[in-house]
Amino acid sequence: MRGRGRSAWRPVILTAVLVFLYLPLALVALYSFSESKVAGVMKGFTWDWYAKLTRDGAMGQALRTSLRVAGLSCLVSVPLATLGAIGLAARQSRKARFAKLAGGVRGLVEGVTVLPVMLPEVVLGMSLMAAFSMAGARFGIWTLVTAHTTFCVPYVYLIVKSRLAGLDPQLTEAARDLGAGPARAFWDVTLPLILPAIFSGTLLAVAMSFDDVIISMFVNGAQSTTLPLKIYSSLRAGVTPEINALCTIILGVVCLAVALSQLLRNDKKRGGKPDETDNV
Amino acid sequence: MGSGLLREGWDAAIPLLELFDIRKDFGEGDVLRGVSLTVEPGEFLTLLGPSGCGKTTLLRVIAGLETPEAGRVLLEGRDITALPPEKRGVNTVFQNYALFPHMNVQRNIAYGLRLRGEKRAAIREQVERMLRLVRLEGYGRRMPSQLSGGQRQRVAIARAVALKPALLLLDEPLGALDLQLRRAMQLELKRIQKDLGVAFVYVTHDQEEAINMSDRIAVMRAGRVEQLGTPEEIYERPATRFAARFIGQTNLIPAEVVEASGHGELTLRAAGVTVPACGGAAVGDKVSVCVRMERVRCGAARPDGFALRARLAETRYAGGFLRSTLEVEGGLTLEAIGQDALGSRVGEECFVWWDPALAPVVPAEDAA
Repeated sequence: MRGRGRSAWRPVILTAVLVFLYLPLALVALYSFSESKVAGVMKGFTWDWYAKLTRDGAMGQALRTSLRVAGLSCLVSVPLATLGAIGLAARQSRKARFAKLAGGVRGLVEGVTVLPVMLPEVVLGMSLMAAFSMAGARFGIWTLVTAHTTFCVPYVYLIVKSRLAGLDPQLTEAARDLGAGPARAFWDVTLPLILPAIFSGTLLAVAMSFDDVIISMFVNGAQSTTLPLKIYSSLRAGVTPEINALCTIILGVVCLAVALSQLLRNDKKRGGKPDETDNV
Repeated sequence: MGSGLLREGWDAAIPLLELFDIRKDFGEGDVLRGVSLTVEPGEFLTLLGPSGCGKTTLLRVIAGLETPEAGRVLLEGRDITALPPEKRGVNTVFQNYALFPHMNVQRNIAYGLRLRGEKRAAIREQVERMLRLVRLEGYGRRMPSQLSGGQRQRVAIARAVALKPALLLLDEPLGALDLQLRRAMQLELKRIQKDLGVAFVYVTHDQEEAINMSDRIAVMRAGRVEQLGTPEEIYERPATRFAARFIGQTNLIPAEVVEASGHGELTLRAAGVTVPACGGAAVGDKVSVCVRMERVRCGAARPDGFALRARLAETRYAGGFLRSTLEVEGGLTLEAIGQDALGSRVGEECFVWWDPALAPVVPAEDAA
C-alpha cells in the first residue's frame, strides 16, 4: 500500500521539477516574441527582435567569434580525445606481468584526463589565465581556443571510451585473421563503429564551448568576445527583448546539438558485444 | 566442386600443422602446459575438454591471436610462431561469429579477398560460390543484424573459407545454437569440410559433437592433451580416468591387478570380487576398470565363464533406453543402459558380466 501512495505522488513531483527547470526558459522564449519594449511584459506577437538582431553588428561579431572558437577547439580536442581513448583502451591487452602497474598508470592518466569536468570552472579559468599571462600569451582567440580545448577533451574522451569498451574485441581480431594489419583493421572496423560516438562527442563539445561563460571570461581578449560574454555584458543595461531573442536562438541550437548527440549515442545496436538478445 | 577449391602444392609427407611444447600463461597460473600435436592435411581434429582446459587459448595461439611463452608452431613446415595473424594464411570462425555489423553479407565475405587485392570479378564470383556453399544464395545484401543465429554462423564460415585456407580454426562455432540446429549444422560443417578438403581444428566441450564429426580427438585437461586419438580409440582405449569419463557413459571400478597374462588379459581384485579386464598393467598396480554402461550384461541364468551375483536395484526410463542400477556382491554398484529391460525385475537377484576384451583399465589416479 505504501508503494501505491508513493507512485501517486510521483507525477506531481516530476511535474513540479520540470516546471521549476523549464518555466524560466519558456518565459524567455515567450517574451522574445513580445511587442513590448520592456522585457517581462507580454503584448502581441512580433519577429522584430529577431530581425533587429541580424542587423546588430556587435552581436554578429560575437557570434562569429563563438563559432570560430567552438570549431577550432573541436578540431583540436576531438582527435586528441579520440586518440587518447583508443590508446588507453589498447594498453589493457599488454603483458600480464605488469598488469597491476599498468592498471595504476592507466587509472591515473584517465583521472587526470577527466578531471576538468569536476574542477570548479572559476579555478580552471583562473589558473588558465595565470598560465597564459606567465607564458606571455596575447589574450584573444587562441587563448580561448586553448582553454575550450582543455574542457572539451574529457567529454569527447568519455563518450568515445564507453563506445570502445562496448565493442566486441573479436571484431578486430576477425579483421586481422582475414589479413588486415593493425592499422587497416582499425580503419575498416574500429573507426566506422566508433564514428557515431565521435560525432556525438563533437556535438557535445560544440555545445559546451558555445555556452561557456566563466572560463571564457578569464581568457578572452578585447577583440574576442564570445556570444555568451556579449550577452552577459549587455545585461548591465537591463534585459532587453533582443537578449531574449538571442537566448532563445542559443537554446534552440544547443538543444539540437545535445539531442543529435544523444541520438548518435543510442545507436548502440551495431557492433556491440553479443548479449542474450543475440539468440536465434 | 571440391577439387577446384583445394589448395594444391603441399608435400604429403609434411604434416599441415605441427605444435611443439606450446606453453602459455596469463599471469594467474598456466593455461597451456606443454602441448604438442600435429594436424594432417584435410583432417578434422577436435580439441575437446571442459571450460578452462586451455582449448580456446590453444586455438588462438594457432591463429596468432596469442603469443606463446614457449614452443613452436609450424604450418606446412614453416615456422609461424612469431607471425601476426594476418600473415599466417590460417582463418578462424569465431565463437560469436564476429561478423562486421556495418557491412552486409557480401562485403563480410569479400573482406579478406579485397585485402588480398583480387580483381572485382573474381571476388564477386568467389562470394557467390561461398554463398552457394553455405546455402545462403540471395542473402548477399542482408545485414548481419537481419540474419538468424544459424545464418550468421554460415556467413562466418563462408567468410573464413573464402580465402581458401589450408587450415580452418573453429571456436565452439555451434555453441550458441539450439540442439536441433546444432545437429543439422554438424552435418553441414562436415559436408563443407569434405567438399573443400580443408583441415579443421575444432574446439568444443560437447562430446557428441566431437564423436560425430572428428577424424581425431585431442582430449584436453588443465592445459595438457590428455589423450589424442580417433573417436573409436578414445572410446575403446581411454588413457586416463578423465578421458574415460569425458567421452561416453562409463563405470569406473577401482581395482588392483592380481594376475597379468602378458597378452593384455588381466585379473583384478575389486571390492571383494574378482573381475577380468584388458590392458597393459603389472601385478600389484592400482587401476580403474572402465566398463561402458551399455556393455554391462545382466541375466537370471548364470553364463559360462565370468559373472558376478547382483541385485537389480532400480530401473529408470531415460528416453529411448533404460538405465538400471545394479548392486553387485561385495558392495560394488554398477550402472547399465540398454534398449530393453535387463530380463530381471527390480529387486530380483541376477548375474552381471561383461566382455573382458571391451573393459580396459586406466591408472587409478589422474596426474595433476
